[in-house]
Amino acid sequence: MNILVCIKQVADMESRFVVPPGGSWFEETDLAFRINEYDEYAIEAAVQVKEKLGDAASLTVLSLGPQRSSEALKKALAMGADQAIHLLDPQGPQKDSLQVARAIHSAVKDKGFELIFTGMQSQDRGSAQVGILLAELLGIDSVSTLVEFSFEGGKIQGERELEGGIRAQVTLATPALVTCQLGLNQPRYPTLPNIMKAKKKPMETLEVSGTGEAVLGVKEIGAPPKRGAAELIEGDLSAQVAQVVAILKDNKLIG
Amino acid sequence: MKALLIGEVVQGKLAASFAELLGFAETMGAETVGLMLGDSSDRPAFGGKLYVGQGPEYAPKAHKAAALAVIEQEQPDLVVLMHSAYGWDLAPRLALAQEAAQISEVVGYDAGLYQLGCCNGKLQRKVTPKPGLVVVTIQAGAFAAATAAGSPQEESIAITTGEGPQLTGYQPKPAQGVDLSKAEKIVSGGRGIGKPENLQLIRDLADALGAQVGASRPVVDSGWIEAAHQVGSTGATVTPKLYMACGISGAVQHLAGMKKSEMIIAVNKDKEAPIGEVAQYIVVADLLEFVPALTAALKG
Ligand SMILES: Cc1cc2nc3c(=O)[nH]c(=O)nc-3n(C[C@H](O)[C@H](O)[C@H](O)COP(=O)(O)OP(=O)(O)OC[C@H]3O[C@@H](n4cnc5c(N)ncnc54)[C@H](O)[C@@H]3O)c2cc1C
Ligand SMILES: Nc1ncnc2c1ncn2[C@@H]1O[C@H](COP(=O)(O)O)[C@@H](O)[C@H]1O
Repeated sequence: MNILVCIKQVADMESRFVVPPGGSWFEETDLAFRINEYDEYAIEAAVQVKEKLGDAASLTVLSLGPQRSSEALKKALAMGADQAIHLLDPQGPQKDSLQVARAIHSAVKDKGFELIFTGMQSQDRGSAQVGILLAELLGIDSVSTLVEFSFEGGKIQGERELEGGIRAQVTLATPALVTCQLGLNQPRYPTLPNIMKAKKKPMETLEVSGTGEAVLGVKEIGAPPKRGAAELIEGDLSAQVAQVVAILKDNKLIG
Repeated sequence: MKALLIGEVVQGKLAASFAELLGFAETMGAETVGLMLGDSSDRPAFGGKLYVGQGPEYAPKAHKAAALAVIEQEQPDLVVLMHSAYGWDLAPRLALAQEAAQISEVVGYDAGLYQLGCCNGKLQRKVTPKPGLVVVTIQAGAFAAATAAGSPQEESIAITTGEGPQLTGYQPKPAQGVDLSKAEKIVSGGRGIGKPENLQLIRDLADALGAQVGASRPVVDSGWIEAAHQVGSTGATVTPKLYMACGISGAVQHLAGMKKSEMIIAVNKDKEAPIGEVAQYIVVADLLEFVPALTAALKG
């Protein structure tokens, strides 16, 4: 069985984001990049299926993005994927969700993937579109936001997480795509031997194609309007402690 | 301009967020048509036409087909859903079938520009869609609920079920250990605590303050604390007199659960952390130093 995981490499969300004047995306130099958090759950879920099926399964990991994305792919290989496809696109971070889905679709449509995992959303965009769009383009069934997943005899059983933490139980048959929510499993850390082994696994780099036209025009990107203005308590530790104790006292939160 | 508002039915109830869809339509100055799919006798209070399809609450194929039929019939300019587990599941299916632009998690609209959060709320993008139908999902809480008025003219539509993913039931919520919703004071720990052992620092501060212990989602997902301690859109909604957020960045889903707290004090080494949007104070410090120091001072 052919299994696919789509992953995106995103900036560390703790970064200081700087947008160049008139720019439509933030400056990437000096930022740290990592696998989109949601996609780590997708990789782990896929690796677990592969481990269960043994040699009968082949797990491909794919990422569309600039050169740096190959690092994310290497980590996924070290977590247990068999091979990687890098859709090289220096402009990747600025592409619409629809363009990303179309490009992935044109790269994978003839490869016969029966089970596809994506994250529920990307941390930088938060669009929650690419997975479902890819499934619709492929004409296969899909469900989003799984916090439970099991796969038995061609059947997927899962739990979708709804607002308030309610869980809806769903079933569907392969071929299918599922999008993974935080907490679906405990993503593994690659071990040193597996990092070494991953270096020998195949990584194919393809020029991106088939993205089509953008559907959204970005007119502006920048800091959001300041809503609250939290007062900063900075300086030396004991002064900070004294200030917080005073605030708690003034507000009768401590005796 | 005409907006088709797609409400959502969960466990037989129409979600109250329908009023936010109406609020968004008001912002846009749009005429409204509603659609709800699922078995529920609830009806939203508004004056427009309401299409109702009785059937399963979640059935992606059937809901897509039913919504497309209504779009065909009504020819709206906008299709609006919540950015929720229901909305983000259905919206891309409709957008692709209609070759429409989709805009996710809209937080504002002004002068033709849709405003979207980006990078955990640290940036905001303003975008314009290509001409034609636009499918929008709106962030919960971003648009004020419209004041309910009127009763809709109802029209039944058919849902053809049977194919595709099936909803088989709901998982009952596990028995909750603590009930944070009634707590007067809460000290919460986030991913910034670094490792499970450091949760003890949060527990000690909570003890010193007579507070309950809360947590952000990653702390729960990592299995460091039981789910009942999670605060946020998929956890508890809390309104204490004091909420201390230690090592919590302030993602919108966390804010949804605690922003109504009276006094919010954040402890974060990043003074630009989005928690600053709702906090009165940010102590800019390493929590591993500040939290035990504060505990010691309180124990005096
Ligand atoms: C549908 C959906 C539902 C969700 N529901 C919830 C929910 O109910 N509740 C919830 O919390 N999240 C929820 N999330 C997840 C949410 O989007 C965030 O991922 C999560 O809230 C982040 O948790 P955090 O702030 O602890 O971690 P991070 O975002 O990683 O932030 C860690 C913070 O700690 C700070 N820090 C690090 N080290 C230190 C230190 N030594 N001292 C001081 N500060 C430090 C960092 O500067 C950073 O600000 C949901 C997500 C989705 C998509
Ligand atoms: N550039 C990309 N390359 C590969 N997969 C992606 C890319 N962008 C998004 N995805 C996948 O689609 C999911 C949803 O992303 P988004 O629609 O951007 O929120 C992510 O969690 C990934 O699994």
